[in-house]
Amino acid sequence: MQALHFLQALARIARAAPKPAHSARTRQIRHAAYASMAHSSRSSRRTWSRALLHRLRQRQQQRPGRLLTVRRRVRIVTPITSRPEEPARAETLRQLVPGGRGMEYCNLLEETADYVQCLRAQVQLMQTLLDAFSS
Amino acid sequence: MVPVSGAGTGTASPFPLWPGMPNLSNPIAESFNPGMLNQSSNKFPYSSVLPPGLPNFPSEPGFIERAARLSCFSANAGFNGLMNNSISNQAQKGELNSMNIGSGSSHGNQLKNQGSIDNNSETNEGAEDKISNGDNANANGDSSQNDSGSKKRKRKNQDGAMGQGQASMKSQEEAGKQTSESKKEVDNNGSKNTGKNGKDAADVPKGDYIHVRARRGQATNSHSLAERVRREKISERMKYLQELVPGCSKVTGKAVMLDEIINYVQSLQRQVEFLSMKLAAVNPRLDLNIETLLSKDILQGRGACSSTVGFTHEMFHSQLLPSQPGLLPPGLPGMLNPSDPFRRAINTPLSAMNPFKDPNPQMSTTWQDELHNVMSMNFATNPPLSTQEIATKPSDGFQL
Repeated sequence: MQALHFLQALARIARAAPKPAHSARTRQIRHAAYASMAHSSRSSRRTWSRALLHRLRQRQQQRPGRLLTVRRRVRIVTPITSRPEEPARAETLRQLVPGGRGMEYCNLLEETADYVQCLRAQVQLMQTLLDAFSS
Repeated sequence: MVPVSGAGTGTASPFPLWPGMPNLSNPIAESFNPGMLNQSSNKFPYSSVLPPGLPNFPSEPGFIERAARLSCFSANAGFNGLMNNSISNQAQKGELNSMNIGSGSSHGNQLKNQGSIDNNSETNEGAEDKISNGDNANANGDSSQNDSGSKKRKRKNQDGAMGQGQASMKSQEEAGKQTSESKKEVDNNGSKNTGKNGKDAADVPKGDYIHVRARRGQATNSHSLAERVRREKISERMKYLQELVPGCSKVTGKAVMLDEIINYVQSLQRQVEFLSMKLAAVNPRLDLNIETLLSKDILQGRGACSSTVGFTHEMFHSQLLPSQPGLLPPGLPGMLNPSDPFRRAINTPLSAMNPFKDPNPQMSTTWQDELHNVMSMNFATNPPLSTQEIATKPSDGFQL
Protein backbone atom coordinates (compact mmCIF):
# COMPACT_ATOMS: atom_id res chain seq x y z
CA MET A 1 0.00 0.00 0.00
CA GLN A 2 2.71 2.31 1.00
CA ALA A 3 4.95 1.27 -1.84
CA LEU A 4 2.21 1.47 -4.38
CA HIS A 5 1.27 4.94 -3.37
CA PHE A 6 4.84 6.06 -3.46
CA LEU A 7 5.48 4.59 -6.87
CA GLN A 8 2.46 6.26 -8.27
CA ALA A 9 3.48 9.55 -6.82
CA LEU A 10 6.97 9.14 -8.19
CA ALA A 11 5.64 8.40 -11.61
CA ARG A 12 3.47 11.42 -11.40
CA ILE A 13 6.39 13.57 -10.44
CA ALA A 14 8.62 12.21 -13.11
CA ARG A 15 5.96 12.81 -15.64
CA ALA A 16 5.66 16.47 -14.84
CA ALA A 17 6.20 18.13 -18.18
CA PRO A 18 8.09 21.20 -17.16
CA LYS A 19 11.16 19.97 -15.51
CA PRO A 20 11.14 21.65 -12.16
CA ALA A 21 14.26 22.57 -10.39
CA HIS A 22 16.12 20.02 -8.44
CA SER A 23 15.05 21.47 -5.16
CA ALA A 24 11.45 21.49 -6.22
CA ARG A 25 11.62 17.89 -7.24
CA THR A 26 13.24 17.03 -3.98
CA ARG A 27 10.46 18.70 -2.16
CA GLN A 28 7.87 16.92 -4.22
CA ILE A 29 9.44 13.56 -3.69
CA ARG A 30 9.72 14.15 0.00
CA HIS A 31 6.11 15.15 0.06
CA ALA A 32 5.21 12.00 -1.79
CA ALA A 33 7.22 9.92 0.62
CA TYR A 34 5.47 11.27 3.67
CA ALA A 35 2.10 11.08 2.01
CA SER A 36 2.58 7.46 1.13
CA MET A 37 3.65 6.77 4.68
CA ALA A 38 0.52 8.34 5.99
CA HIS A 39 -1.60 6.42 3.55
CA SER A 40 -0.27 3.04 4.40
CA SER A 41 -2.93 0.68 5.56
CA ARG A 42 -1.26 0.02 8.82
CA SER A 43 -1.07 3.57 9.90
CA SER A 44 -4.09 5.20 8.40
CA ARG A 45 -5.81 5.18 11.72
CA ARG A 46 -3.01 6.65 13.66
CA THR A 47 -2.87 10.11 15.02
CA TRP A 48 0.44 10.87 13.49
CA SER A 49 -0.72 9.95 10.02
CA ARG A 50 -3.67 12.26 10.25
CA ALA A 51 -1.53 15.05 11.58
CA LEU A 52 1.03 14.43 8.90
CA LEU A 53 -1.49 14.56 6.12
CA HIS A 54 -2.93 17.69 7.56
CA ARG A 55 0.44 19.29 7.68
CA LEU A 56 1.22 18.27 4.13
CA ARG A 57 -1.99 19.68 2.80
CA GLN A 58 -1.46 22.81 4.72
CA ARG A 59 1.93 23.26 3.17
CA GLN A 60 0.64 22.53 -0.25
CA GLN A 61 -2.00 25.15 0.00
CA GLN A 62 0.35 27.69 1.29
CA ARG A 63 3.08 27.32 -1.19
CA PRO A 64 1.60 28.33 -4.49
CA GLY A 65 1.56 32.02 -5.10
CA ARG A 66 3.09 33.18 -1.91
CA LEU A 67 6.46 34.62 -1.57
CA LEU A 68 6.47 34.56 2.14
CA THR A 69 4.68 31.53 3.32
CA VAL A 70 3.38 31.42 6.76
CA ARG A 71 5.25 28.50 8.09
CA ARG A 72 3.32 27.99 11.18
CA ARG A 73 -0.01 29.06 12.31
CA VAL A 74 -0.72 29.84 15.87
CA ARG A 75 -0.64 26.71 17.84
CA ILE A 76 -1.13 25.64 21.30
CA VAL A 77 2.13 26.28 22.92
CA THR A 78 4.25 23.67 24.49
CA PRO A 79 3.67 24.21 28.17
CA ILE A 80 0.18 22.96 27.91
CA THR A 81 1.28 19.57 26.83
CA SER A 82 4.34 19.19 28.96
CA ARG A 83 3.70 17.25 32.04
CA PRO A 84 5.70 17.17 35.19
CA GLU A 85 6.67 13.55 35.21
CA GLU A 86 7.82 13.31 31.66
CA PRO A 87 11.47 13.08 30.89
CA ALA A 88 13.23 16.11 29.62
CA ARG A 89 13.43 15.03 26.02
CA ALA A 90 9.79 14.32 25.66
CA GLU A 91 9.23 17.69 24.15
CA THR A 92 11.77 17.02 21.45
CA LEU A 93 10.03 13.80 20.63
CA ARG A 94 6.77 15.62 20.38
CA GLN A 95 8.23 17.95 17.86
CA LEU A 96 9.59 15.11 15.83
CA VAL A 97 6.54 12.96 15.64
CA PRO A 98 3.74 14.63 13.72
CA GLY A 99 0.82 15.38 15.90
CA GLY A 100 2.79 14.80 19.00
CA ARG A 101 1.85 17.98 20.68
CA GLY A 102 -1.56 17.01 21.76
CA MET A 103 -0.81 13.54 22.96
CA GLU A 104 -0.14 12.20 26.32
CA TYR A 105 3.23 10.74 26.91
CA CYS A 106 1.93 7.22 26.93
CA ASN A 107 0.25 7.58 23.58
CA LEU A 108 3.20 9.48 22.27
CA LEU A 109 5.38 6.45 22.76
CA GLU A 110 2.97 4.24 20.94
CA GLU A 111 2.70 6.64 18.05
CA THR A 112 6.45 6.93 17.94
CA ALA A 113 6.77 3.20 17.55
CA ASP A 114 4.38 3.14 14.64
CA TYR A 115 5.98 6.16 13.10
CA VAL A 116 9.40 4.61 13.35
CA GLN A 117 8.18 1.50 11.64
CA CYS A 118 6.68 3.44 8.79
CA LEU A 119 9.73 5.59 8.44
CA ARG A 120 11.95 2.57 8.28
CA ALA A 121 9.80 0.96 5.64
CA GLN A 122 9.81 4.13 3.62
CA VAL A 123 13.55 4.48 3.82
CA GLN A 124 14.03 0.90 2.72
CA LEU A 125 11.65 1.41 -0.14
CA MET A 126 13.37 4.52 -1.34
CA GLN A 127 16.76 2.95 -1.02
CA THR A 128 15.72 -0.03 -3.06
CA LEU A 129 14.19 2.16 -5.70
CA LEU A 130 17.34 4.16 -5.88
CA ASP A 131 19.37 1.05 -6.34
CA ALA A 132 17.03 -0.20 -9.00
CA PHE A 133 17.05 3.00 -10.91
CA SER A 134 20.71 3.58 -10.80
CA SER A 135 21.76 0.10 -11.71
CA MET B 1 -7.81 14.53 16.82
CA VAL B 2 -7.42 13.48 20.32
CA PRO B 3 -6.48 9.91 20.28
CA VAL B 4 -8.40 7.63 22.42
CA SER B 5 -6.17 6.60 25.16
CA GLY B 6 -5.46 3.05 25.91
CA ALA B 7 -6.87 0.55 23.59
CA GLY B 8 -8.96 2.98 21.73
CA THR B 9 -6.50 3.62 18.96
CA GLY B 10 -6.00 1.15 16.26
CA THR B 11 -7.34 -2.23 16.21
CA ALA B 12 -4.29 -4.12 17.05
CA SER B 13 -2.37 -2.94 19.94
CA PRO B 14 1.27 -3.92 19.85
CA PHE B 15 1.44 -3.88 23.51
CA PRO B 16 0.01 -6.98 24.88
CA LEU B 17 -0.85 -6.69 28.41
CA TRP B 18 0.86 -9.19 30.48
CA PRO B 19 -1.43 -12.07 30.33
CA GLY B 20 0.60 -14.13 32.64
CA MET B 21 0.48 -11.77 35.48
CA PRO B 22 -1.85 -12.70 38.16
CA ASN B 23 -4.69 -10.44 38.60
CA LEU B 24 -4.13 -8.92 41.84
CA SER B 25 -6.34 -6.10 41.93
CA ASN B 26 -9.75 -6.17 43.01
CA PRO B 27 -10.50 -2.56 42.88
CA ILE B 28 -14.07 -3.00 43.62
CA ALA B 29 -13.19 -4.98 46.62
CA GLU B 30 -11.19 -2.18 47.95
CA SER B 31 -13.50 0.44 46.97
CA PHE B 32 -16.20 -1.26 48.78
CA ASN B 33 -14.21 -2.26 51.71
CA PRO B 34 -14.55 0.82 53.73
CA GLY B 35 -18.12 1.03 52.93
CA MET B 36 -18.76 -2.50 53.70
CA LEU B 37 -17.33 -2.47 57.07
CA ASN B 38 -19.74 -3.79 59.49
CA GLN B 39 -22.42 -3.77 57.02
CA SER B 40 -24.11 -6.86 56.15
CA SER B 41 -26.40 -5.26 53.73
CA ASN B 42 -25.14 -5.69 50.35
CA LYS B 43 -24.82 -2.69 48.27
CA PHE B 44 -24.45 -4.43 45.07
CA PRO B 45 -27.32 -4.61 42.78
CA TYR B 46 -26.83 -8.13 41.90
CA SER B 47 -26.25 -9.19 45.36
CA SER B 48 -29.88 -9.03 46.00
CA VAL B 49 -30.23 -11.83 43.63
CA LEU B 50 -28.25 -14.02 45.84
CA PRO B 51 -30.05 -15.68 48.58
CA PRO B 52 -28.87 -14.78 51.98
CA GLY B 53 -27.87 -18.25 52.80
CA LEU B 54 -25.36 -20.17 50.95
CA PRO B 55 -26.80 -21.16 47.70
CA ASN B 56 -26.02 -24.29 45.97
CA PHE B 57 -22.91 -23.91 44.05
CA PRO B 58 -22.57 -24.75 40.47
CA SER B 59 -20.80 -27.95 40.15
CA GLU B 60 -17.95 -26.78 38.12
CA PRO B 61 -14.83 -28.64 38.68
CA GLY B 62 -12.87 -25.52 39.06
CA PHE B 63 -14.99 -24.44 41.91
CA ILE B 64 -14.47 -27.61 43.67
CA GLU B 65 -10.82 -27.32 43.31
CA ARG B 66 -10.77 -23.85 44.48
CA ALA B 67 -12.96 -24.58 47.35
CA ALA B 68 -10.65 -27.29 48.39
CA ARG B 69 -7.76 -24.98 48.21
CA LEU B 70 -9.54 -22.29 50.01
CA SER B 71 -10.57 -24.46 52.78
CA CYS B 72 -7.08 -25.43 53.51
CA PHE B 73 -6.21 -21.95 54.50
CA SER B 74 -7.09 -20.92 57.91
CA ALA B 75 -7.80 -17.42 58.84
CA ASN B 76 -4.47 -16.92 60.36
CA ALA B 77 -2.59 -18.95 57.95
CA GLY B 78 0.50 -16.97 57.51
CA PHE B 79 1.29 -15.50 54.25
CA ASN B 80 3.44 -18.44 53.71
CA GLY B 81 0.38 -20.37 53.19
CA LEU B 82 -0.37 -18.11 50.37
CA MET B 83 2.82 -18.95 48.71
CA ASN B 84 1.56 -22.33 47.90
CA ASN B 85 -1.21 -20.78 46.07
CA SER B 86 1.09 -18.88 43.88
CA ILE B 87 1.96 -22.02 42.12
CA SER B 88 -1.56 -22.85 41.45
CA ASN B 89 -2.48 -19.32 40.78
CA GLN B 90 -2.26 -19.68 37.14
CA ALA B 91 -4.36 -22.73 37.15
CA GLN B 92 -6.94 -21.15 39.26
CA LYS B 93 -6.88 -18.10 37.24
CA GLY B 94 -7.51 -20.16 34.23
CA GLU B 95 -10.34 -21.78 35.92
CA LEU B 96 -11.75 -18.62 37.05
CA ASN B 97 -11.39 -17.16 33.69
CA SER B 98 -13.27 -19.90 32.09
CA MET B 99 -15.83 -19.77 34.71
CA ASN B 100 -16.29 -16.13 34.81
CA ILE B 101 -16.66 -16.00 31.18
CA GLY B 102 -19.66 -18.08 31.55
CA SER B 103 -22.25 -15.60 32.38
CA GLY B 104 -23.65 -15.82 35.73
CA SER B 105 -21.02 -18.07 36.93
CA SER B 106 -19.46 -15.19 38.62
CA HIS B 107 -22.06 -15.23 41.22
CA GLY B 108 -21.55 -18.83 41.67
CA ASN B 109 -17.91 -18.27 42.20
CA GLN B 110 -18.50 -15.88 44.86
CA LEU B 111 -20.99 -17.97 46.55
CA LYS B 112 -18.84 -20.93 46.34
CA ASN B 113 -16.00 -19.15 47.89
CA GLN B 114 -18.18 -17.90 50.55
CA GLY B 115 -19.49 -21.27 51.23
CA SER B 116 -16.13 -22.77 51.44
CA ILE B 117 -14.77 -20.03 53.46
CA ASP B 118 -17.84 -19.65 55.44
CA ASN B 119 -16.85 -17.09 57.79
CA ASN B 120 -18.38 -13.86 58.22
CA SER B 121 -21.96 -13.33 58.38
CA GLU B 122 -21.39 -10.59 56.03
CA THR B 123 -19.82 -12.75 53.55
CA ASN B 124 -23.04 -13.44 51.98
CA GLU B 125 -23.17 -11.39 48.96
CA GLY B 126 -21.84 -8.18 49.96
CA ALA B 127 -18.75 -9.77 51.12
CA GLU B 128 -17.19 -9.77 47.79
CA ASP B 129 -14.71 -7.38 48.91
CA LYS B 130 -14.34 -8.96 52.17
CA ILE B 131 -12.20 -11.84 52.07
CA SER B 132 -13.80 -13.93 54.57
CA ASN B 133 -11.55 -14.28 57.45
CA GLY B 134 -8.48 -13.83 55.61
CA ASP B 135 -8.72 -16.99 53.81
CA ASN B 136 -6.21 -16.37 51.32
CA ALA B 137 -7.63 -18.09 48.50
CA ASN B 138 -5.64 -17.70 45.62
CA ALA B 139 -7.70 -15.79 43.81
CA ASN B 140 -6.14 -14.90 40.98
CA GLY B 141 -9.49 -15.22 40.09
CA ASP B 142 -9.45 -11.89 38.95
CA SER B 143 -10.00 -13.50 35.77
CA SER B 144 -13.12 -11.57 35.53
CA GLN B 145 -11.01 -8.59 35.78
CA ASN B 146 -9.15 -9.60 32.79
CA ASP B 147 -10.50 -7.16 30.38
CA SER B 148 -10.51 -4.09 32.40
CA GLY B 149 -8.46 -5.28 35.25
CA SER B 150 -5.76 -6.61 33.15
CA LYS B 151 -5.34 -3.23 31.77
CA LYS B 152 -4.80 -1.87 35.15
CA ARG B 153 -2.63 -4.16 36.83
CA LYS B 154 -3.23 -2.87 40.17
CA ARG B 155 -1.18 -4.67 42.56
CA LYS B 156 -2.51 -2.82 45.37
CA ASN B 157 -5.87 -1.57 44.81
CA GLN B 158 -6.55 1.39 46.75
CA ASP B 159 -9.72 1.59 48.56
CA GLY B 160 -11.67 4.15 46.93
CA ALA B 161 -12.68 5.21 43.62
CA MET B 162 -10.59 2.93 41.55
CA GLY B 163 -13.08 0.33 40.95
CA GLN B 164 -16.00 2.59 40.70
CA GLY B 165 -15.30 3.66 37.27
CA GLN B 166 -15.25 0.18 36.01
CA ALA B 167 -18.50 -1.44 35.43
CA SER B 168 -16.98 -4.76 34.88
CA MET B 169 -15.52 -4.69 38.28
CA LYS B 170 -18.81 -5.52 39.76
CA SER B 171 -18.74 -8.87 38.25
CA GLN B 172 -15.40 -9.32 39.73
CA GLU B 173 -16.47 -8.68 43.16
CA GLU B 174 -16.88 -12.23 43.83
CA ALA B 175 -13.37 -12.62 42.80
CA GLY B 176 -12.61 -9.84 45.13
CA LYS B 177 -12.28 -12.09 48.00
CA GLN B 178 -9.88 -14.15 46.18
CA THR B 179 -8.18 -11.26 44.68
CA SER B 180 -7.63 -9.58 47.89
CA GLU B 181 -6.02 -12.66 49.10
CA SER B 182 -4.08 -13.03 45.99
CA LYS B 183 -3.06 -9.52 46.34
CA LYS B 184 -1.63 -10.24 49.61
CA GLU B 185 0.02 -13.10 48.09
CA VAL B 186 1.39 -11.14 45.31
CA ASP B 187 2.59 -8.63 47.67
CA ASN B 188 4.23 -11.28 49.54
CA ASN B 189 5.83 -12.45 46.45
CA GLY B 190 7.42 -9.14 46.71
CA SER B 191 6.71 -8.02 43.30
CA LYS B 192 7.08 -4.43 43.96
CA ASN B 193 6.24 -3.45 47.38
CA THR B 194 8.10 -5.23 49.98
CA GLY B 195 7.20 -2.57 52.37
CA LYS B 196 3.63 -3.30 51.92
CA ASN B 197 3.83 -6.66 53.42
CA GLY B 198 3.63 -5.18 56.78
CA LYS B 199 0.51 -3.52 55.79
CA ASP B 200 -0.95 -6.62 54.43
CA ALA B 201 -0.19 -8.43 57.54
CA ALA B 202 -1.99 -5.78 59.34
CA ASP B 203 -4.97 -6.39 57.25
CA VAL B 204 -5.50 -9.87 58.31
CA PRO B 205 -5.98 -9.25 61.92
CA LYS B 206 -8.48 -6.63 61.02
CA GLY B 207 -10.93 -9.32 60.68
CA ASP B 208 -13.23 -10.09 57.99
CA TYR B 209 -12.40 -7.46 55.51
CA ILE B 210 -9.16 -7.34 53.85
CA HIS B 211 -8.03 -4.08 52.55
CA VAL B 212 -5.23 -5.63 50.82
CA ARG B 213 -4.61 -2.87 48.54
CA ALA B 214 -4.28 -0.14 50.93
CA ARG B 215 -0.89 1.18 50.47
CA ARG B 216 1.12 2.89 52.97
CA GLY B 217 2.03 6.45 52.43
CA GLN B 218 -0.17 7.09 49.48
CA ALA B 219 -2.17 10.15 49.45
CA THR B 220 -4.99 9.39 47.13
CA ASN B 221 -5.77 5.92 46.21
CA SER B 222 -7.20 6.44 42.85
CA HIS B 223 -4.42 8.67 41.75
CA SER B 224 -1.64 6.42 42.76
CA LEU B 225 -3.30 3.47 41.23
CA ALA B 226 -3.81 5.24 37.99
CA GLU B 227 -0.27 6.36 38.14
CA ARG B 228 0.96 2.91 38.53
CA VAL B 229 -1.04 1.70 35.64
CA ARG B 230 0.25 4.52 33.59
CA ARG B 231 3.79 3.80 34.52
CA GLU B 232 3.38 0.22 33.54
CA LYS B 233 1.98 1.20 30.21
CA ILE B 234 4.81 3.55 29.62
CA SER B 235 7.40 0.98 30.48
CA GLU B 236 5.71 -1.46 28.14
CA ARG B 237 5.95 0.92 25.33
CA MET B 238 9.49 1.81 26.09
CA LYS B 239 10.37 -1.85 25.89
CA TYR B 240 8.71 -2.14 22.54
CA LEU B 241 10.52 0.88 21.28
CA GLN B 242 13.72 -0.55 22.57
CA GLU B 243 13.22 -3.51 20.31
CA LEU B 244 12.43 -1.33 17.38
CA VAL B 245 15.37 0.95 17.61
CA PRO B 246 18.48 -0.92 16.67
CA GLY B 247 21.24 -0.99 19.17
CA CYS B 248 19.13 -0.10 22.09
CA SER B 249 19.06 -3.38 23.83
CA LYS B 250 22.06 -2.58 25.91
CA VAL B 251 20.89 0.80 26.86
CA THR B 252 19.00 1.01 30.05
CA GLY B 253 17.24 3.85 31.60
CA LYS B 254 14.47 5.94 30.30
CA ALA B 255 16.44 9.06 29.65
CA VAL B 256 19.10 7.44 27.55
CA MET B 257 16.53 5.40 25.71
CA LEU B 258 14.60 8.47 24.90
CA ASP B 259 17.70 10.10 23.52
CA GLU B 260 18.37 7.12 21.38
CA ILE B 261 14.86 7.10 20.07
CA ILE B 262 15.02 10.74 19.22
CA ASN B 263 18.31 10.29 17.45
CA TYR B 264 16.94 7.41 15.51
CA VAL B 265 13.84 9.25 14.41
CA GLN B 266 15.94 12.22 13.39
CA SER B 267 18.31 10.06 11.44
CA LEU B 268 15.45 8.35 9.66
CA GLN B 269 13.95 11.66 8.71
CA ARG B 270 17.26 12.89 7.45
CA GLN B 271 17.61 9.73 5.44
CA VAL B 272 14.26 10.34 3.85
CA GLU B 273 15.37 13.79 2.85
CA PHE B 274 18.64 12.57 1.48
CA LEU B 275 17.06 9.76 -0.46
CA SER B 276 14.44 12.02 -1.91
CA MET B 277 17.20 14.30 -3.06
CA LYS B 278 18.93 11.46 -4.75
CA LEU B 279 15.74 10.22 -6.25
CA ALA B 280 15.10 13.63 -7.64
CA ALA B 281 18.44 13.44 -9.34
CA VAL B 282 17.79 10.02 -10.69
CA ASN B 283 14.21 10.61 -11.55
CA PRO B 284 14.42 11.45 -15.20
CA ARG B 285 16.05 8.17 -15.68
CA LEU B 286 13.13 6.37 -14.20
CA ASP B 287 11.58 3.64 -16.06
CA LEU B 288 8.20 5.15 -16.09
CA ASN B 289 7.05 2.27 -18.03
CA ILE B 290 7.75 -0.17 -15.32
CA GLU B 291 6.24 1.99 -12.73
CA THR B 292 3.05 2.53 -14.52
CA LEU B 293 2.85 -1.03 -15.54
CA LEU B 294 3.30 -2.04 -12.00
CA SER B 295 0.61 0.19 -10.79
CA LYS B 296 -1.65 -0.71 -13.58
CA ASP B 297 -1.25 -4.40 -13.17
CA ILE B 298 -1.48 -4.38 -9.49
CA LEU B 299 -4.47 -2.18 -9.50
CA GLN B 300 -6.10 -4.19 -12.14
CA GLY B 301 -5.47 -7.26 -10.15
CA ARG B 302 -7.48 -5.66 -7.43
CA GLY B 303 -10.17 -4.26 -9.58
CA ALA B 304 -8.52 -0.97 -10.16
CA CYS B 305 -10.50 1.95 -11.24
CA SER B 306 -10.45 2.91 -14.82
CA SER B 307 -8.83 6.20 -14.11
CA THR B 308 -5.66 4.49 -13.15
CA VAL B 309 -5.70 2.47 -16.29
CA GLY B 310 -6.11 5.59 -18.28
CA PHE B 311 -3.22 7.04 -16.45
CA THR B 312 -1.02 4.17 -17.38
CA HIS B 313 -2.01 4.31 -21.00
CA GLU B 314 -1.08 7.88 -20.99
CA MET B 315 2.23 6.91 -19.61
CA PHE B 316 2.69 4.54 -22.45
CA HIS B 317 2.09 7.21 -24.99
CA SER B 318 4.34 9.61 -23.31
CA GLN B 319 6.94 6.94 -23.21
CA LEU B 320 6.74 6.29 -26.87
CA LEU B 321 6.97 9.83 -27.94
CA PRO B 322 9.45 11.52 -25.76
CA SER B 323 12.97 12.36 -26.47
CA GLN B 324 14.19 10.77 -23.34
CA PRO B 325 15.58 7.38 -23.86
CA GLY B 326 13.49 4.76 -22.32
CA LEU B 327 15.03 2.97 -19.56
CA LEU B 328 14.33 -0.55 -20.53
CA PRO B 329 17.62 -2.21 -20.29
CA PRO B 330 19.00 -3.22 -23.57
CA GLY B 331 17.72 -6.56 -24.48
CA LEU B 332 14.66 -8.16 -23.12
CA PRO B 333 16.39 -10.39 -20.65
CA GLY B 334 17.67 -7.31 -19.05
CA MET B 335 14.14 -6.49 -18.16
CA LEU B 336 14.20 -8.94 -15.42
CA ASN B 337 16.75 -7.07 -13.45
CA PRO B 338 14.60 -4.23 -12.31
CA SER B 339 11.85 -6.59 -11.42
CA ASP B 340 13.75 -8.09 -8.56
CA PRO B 341 14.59 -4.86 -6.87
CA PHE B 342 11.08 -3.70 -7.43
CA ARG B 343 9.77 -6.83 -5.94
CA ARG B 344 12.08 -6.41 -3.07
CA ALA B 345 11.23 -2.79 -2.74
CA ILE B 346 7.63 -3.60 -2.57
CA ASN B 347 7.99 -6.58 -0.38
CA THR B 348 10.30 -5.15 2.17
CA PRO B 349 7.83 -2.56 3.30
CA LEU B 350 5.24 -5.24 3.32
CA SER B 351 7.33 -7.50 5.40
CA ALA B 352 8.19 -4.64 7.64
CA MET B 353 4.55 -4.21 8.22
CA ASN B 354 3.99 -7.78 9.05
CA PRO B 355 5.57 -8.01 12.43
CA PHE B 356 3.53 -5.20 13.62
CA LYS B 357 0.26 -6.45 12.41
CA ASP B 358 -0.23 -8.99 9.82
CA PRO B 359 -2.14 -7.14 7.22
CA ASN B 360 -1.80 -8.96 3.96
CA PRO B 361 0.22 -12.06 3.96
CA GLN B 362 -1.11 -12.80 0.58
CA MET B 363 -0.33 -9.34 -0.61
CA SER B 364 3.29 -10.03 -1.19
CA THR B 365 2.51 -13.01 -3.35
CA THR B 366 0.08 -10.92 -5.31
CA TRP B 367 2.78 -8.42 -5.91
CA GLN B 368 5.10 -11.08 -7.15
CA ASP B 369 2.51 -12.52 -9.43
CA GLU B 370 1.77 -9.17 -10.83
CA LEU B 371 5.38 -8.41 -11.29
CA HIS B 372 5.65 -11.51 -13.37
CA ASN B 373 2.68 -10.41 -15.36
CA VAL B 374 4.19 -7.06 -15.81
CA MET B 375 7.38 -8.48 -17.04
CA SER B 376 5.67 -10.69 -19.51
CA MET B 377 3.60 -7.80 -20.67
CA ASN B 378 6.63 -5.74 -21.10
CA PHE B 379 8.18 -8.33 -23.24
CA ALA B 380 5.14 -8.43 -25.37
CA THR B 381 4.66 -4.75 -25.85
CA ASN B 382 8.06 -3.30 -25.84
CA PRO B 383 10.00 -4.90 -28.58
CA PRO B 384 9.58 -1.82 -30.72
CA LEU B 385 10.96 0.24 -27.92
CA SER B 386 13.90 -1.89 -27.22
CA THR B 387 15.64 -1.21 -30.44
CA GLN B 388 14.97 2.45 -30.07
CA GLU B 389 16.35 2.40 -26.63
CA ILE B 390 19.39 0.55 -27.56
CA ALA B 391 20.01 3.01 -30.26
CA THR B 392 19.33 6.03 -28.20
CA LYS B 393 20.88 4.91 -25.05
CA PRO B 394 24.06 6.76 -24.94
CA SER B 395 25.61 7.92 -21.81
CA ASP B 396 23.14 10.64 -21.22
CA GLY B 397 21.19 8.92 -18.62
CA PHE B 398 21.27 11.61 -16.07
CA GLN B 399 19.92 14.60 -17.73
CA LEU B 400 17.88 16.65 -15.52
